[in-house]
Amino acid sequence: MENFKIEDHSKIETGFSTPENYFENLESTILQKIENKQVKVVSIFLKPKYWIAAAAAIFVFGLFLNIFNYKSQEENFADEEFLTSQTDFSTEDLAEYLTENELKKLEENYNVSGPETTEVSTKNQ
Amino acid sequence: MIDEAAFIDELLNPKTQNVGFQKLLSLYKKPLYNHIRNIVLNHDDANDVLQNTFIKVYQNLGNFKRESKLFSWIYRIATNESITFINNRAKRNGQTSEVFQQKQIDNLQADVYFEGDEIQLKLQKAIHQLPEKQQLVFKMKYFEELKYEEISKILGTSVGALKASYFHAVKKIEEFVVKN
Repeated sequence: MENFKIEDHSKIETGFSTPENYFENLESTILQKIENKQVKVVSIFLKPKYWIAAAAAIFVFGLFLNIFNYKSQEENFADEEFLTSQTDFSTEDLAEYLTENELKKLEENYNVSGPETTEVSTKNQ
Repeated sequence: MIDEAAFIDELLNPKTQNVGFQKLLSLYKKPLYNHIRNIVLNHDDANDVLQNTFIKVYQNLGNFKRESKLFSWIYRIATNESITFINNRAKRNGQTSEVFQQKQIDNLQADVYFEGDEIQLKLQKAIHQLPEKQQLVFKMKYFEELKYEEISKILGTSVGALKASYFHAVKKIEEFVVKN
């Protein structure tokens, strides 16, 4: 081609075509898609799999709480349990760990060797 | 021509929105399809981009500012969607968007929905030698017969710059057609 001027040439169309009835069906396709999208947005909270996932999450969380509580209880009561389980742990054994002063204080506090105690113990005899 | 302000009211009012949107669909489907098809070239791709564009328009009606015209707002969404589509597809194929578009042009002859003759095919090839902006301006002015003022609002470019782009585009296309 020696010379070509777009303005002088008759209008050149794009040459593009579409499938038959494309534009006739397009509107309903798009409206359907929009409707589906809207339903999807709402249904996230209604879908059973999300409920199951949420329930599972709460259950696992609860389980962790239980284990945690159990462990901390174990720690709190460990010494007491040890003492109660050791039945042959006598007063003499305990006294070995205490100083003279501590023993005296204990005696005063609980009045072990006081007149009331002696009285009861003599009555029982 | 419909009353723009009343039409926008109809689209923004939840009670009349669906009826308004159906009107919008029938008004814009053909020109918007042509606009998108001119950019992405392939019918299936144009169909995807067009549907996404309308869905985006519907979802963003609430964000529509009355400062711009509905027409330029919709065309701007369609243009952005088309360019994003090309960039994403090129990226997925590990190509630049220029290489991807060149392939699309090479496939045009085998496309069942391209019925162009020799000069139409040559014109398409010539257009795709141009920089992106010049391509857009040429397609919108020559094929879609939009006014410079309208293109200016869609692309956010001054009318003067658009006229210069179109002038350069026409020159390069004419040279390409003569050489090939």
